[in-house]
Amino acid sequence: MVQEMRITLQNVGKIDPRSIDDYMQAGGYQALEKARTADPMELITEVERSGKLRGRGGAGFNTGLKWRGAAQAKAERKYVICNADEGEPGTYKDRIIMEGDPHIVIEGMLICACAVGAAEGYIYCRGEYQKANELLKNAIRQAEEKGLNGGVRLQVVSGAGSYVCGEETALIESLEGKRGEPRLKPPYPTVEGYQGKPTVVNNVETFAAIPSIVEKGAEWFQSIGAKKYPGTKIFTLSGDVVNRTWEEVPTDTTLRDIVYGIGGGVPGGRRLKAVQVGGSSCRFITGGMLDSAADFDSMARLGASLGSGSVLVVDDSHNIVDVLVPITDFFAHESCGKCVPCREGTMRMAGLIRDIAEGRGDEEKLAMIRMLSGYMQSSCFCPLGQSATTAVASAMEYFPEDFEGKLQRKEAAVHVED
Amino acid sequence: MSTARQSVQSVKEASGSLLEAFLAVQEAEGYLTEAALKAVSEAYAIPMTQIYETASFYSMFRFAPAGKTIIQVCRNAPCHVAGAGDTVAALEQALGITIGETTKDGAFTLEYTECIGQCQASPSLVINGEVHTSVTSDKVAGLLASLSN
Repeated sequence: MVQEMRITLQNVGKIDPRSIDDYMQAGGYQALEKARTADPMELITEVERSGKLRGRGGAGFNTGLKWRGAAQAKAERKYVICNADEGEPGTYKDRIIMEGDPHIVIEGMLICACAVGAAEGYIYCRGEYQKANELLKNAIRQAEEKGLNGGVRLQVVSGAGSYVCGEETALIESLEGKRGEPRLKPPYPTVEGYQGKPTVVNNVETFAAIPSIVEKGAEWFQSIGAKKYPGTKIFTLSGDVVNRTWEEVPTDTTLRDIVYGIGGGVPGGRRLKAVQVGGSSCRFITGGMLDSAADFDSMARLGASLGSGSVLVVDDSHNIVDVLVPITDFFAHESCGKCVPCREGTMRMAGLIRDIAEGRGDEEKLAMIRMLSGYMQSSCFCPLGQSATTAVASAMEYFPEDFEGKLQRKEAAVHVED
Repeated sequence: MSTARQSVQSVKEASGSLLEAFLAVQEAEGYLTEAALKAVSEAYAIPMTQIYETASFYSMFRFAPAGKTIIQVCRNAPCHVAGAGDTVAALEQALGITIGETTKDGAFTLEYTECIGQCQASPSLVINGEVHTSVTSDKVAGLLASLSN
């Protein structure tokens, strides 16, 4: 039985996202009030301890620790940035939050600004999310009219089509009006971020969890879900699943409950072949691995990752190599071009996978894919290139007969594990 | 041109974002014309080399005119699994062009887009900025008919 638990989505579908009064009637902006009367360092300790809230964008870094870094940095200006550049294929959780409850994001950011001592903040919203962009702008205006921003100037800035800008330093470059190429870290943004000043960059879902944590406290949040990655997580389902839908559940929920309980399983009498949790940059897993909890560390133990929380279900009608075609094309298109292993590697990988998918493969090409994948994982500059072949490597490991079938130009080899 | 210049100025005052200046120009003129980019360059006091350096990085910007109706089909894995390939084939057949092309009369441009975050109702596509979901190949004819009305 799947137990939904809504923290970041608590108001979605219940309030009018255009109405600050609705949000306030639901208890909104009370956490901000509480935060403003608290000592900033105590507030940060609360977030840090408070359930060890870890970033919901995919990296899983301790949010309080990030805040502490920026709070302790000495600078005349500091910035808070909300990463709303959601672009990992299969992921739409941030859109659901922003379109359903924009004020919860604004409140989370204002609490952060108060904790780290920032007077300015930006929401970098992907260019394709026009509706979210407008709702956020409206929410900021309403918060200002009620004097809730407390002198903090928040702004929504649009992206213009670039996946790598979801990486925090690339996002900062883009916000500064440059190409979205990642920076070398360290220095981390908490020390030298936007305009060279200390900057906190958090994901939409992370900010949306903040008001509840401040309001209800550390113990409460820590008691929910997996011990080392407590709280809830939104999962967005897509692919060959009866209910292509989304839900927020405690982090110790199993993948089986997500795929079958929320998703309703595979439709049309087909059987489950593979699940890719976390987006195109993450590994495929098989049906036999679904009893694992979905939290960050349990997924890591499987050799996989939680990533953004997207769940792509693939049934046994597909040869996995055909699914790798759009995945490798995606990375070839989105590579920023800064480093050679990624720029050339993603292009070569897409070509090799397409060759195999279209019946032009041979053993030599398979060997090249393995070699290239290893090189890219170890030598690409940023996580985009390092993870661009993760899905390919996992597919080769779990579905070798699909590759074999393609080499022999047979139709989709079928691999099923219940 | 004056419209583009005005929109650049208002973006500069409102958010100061360079990307938003490009987006505003493109909205007004259909693509990033050289004259419009010069206007951005002057307004922001950024040299043209840098203007091109930034603009050419982002996939939403165009440097040549496109069709009156721009159809962008998501090509990522979730839409692919849901049959986006068949949707593209149906669109290609109906429009008489292959993906990446514009019809001779300049009415339609058909191209790919990366994930647009509408995977709950895939295959999804965007027509002149408007999202359309669950567009399986059998719905293509109806969709195109609704556009000409």
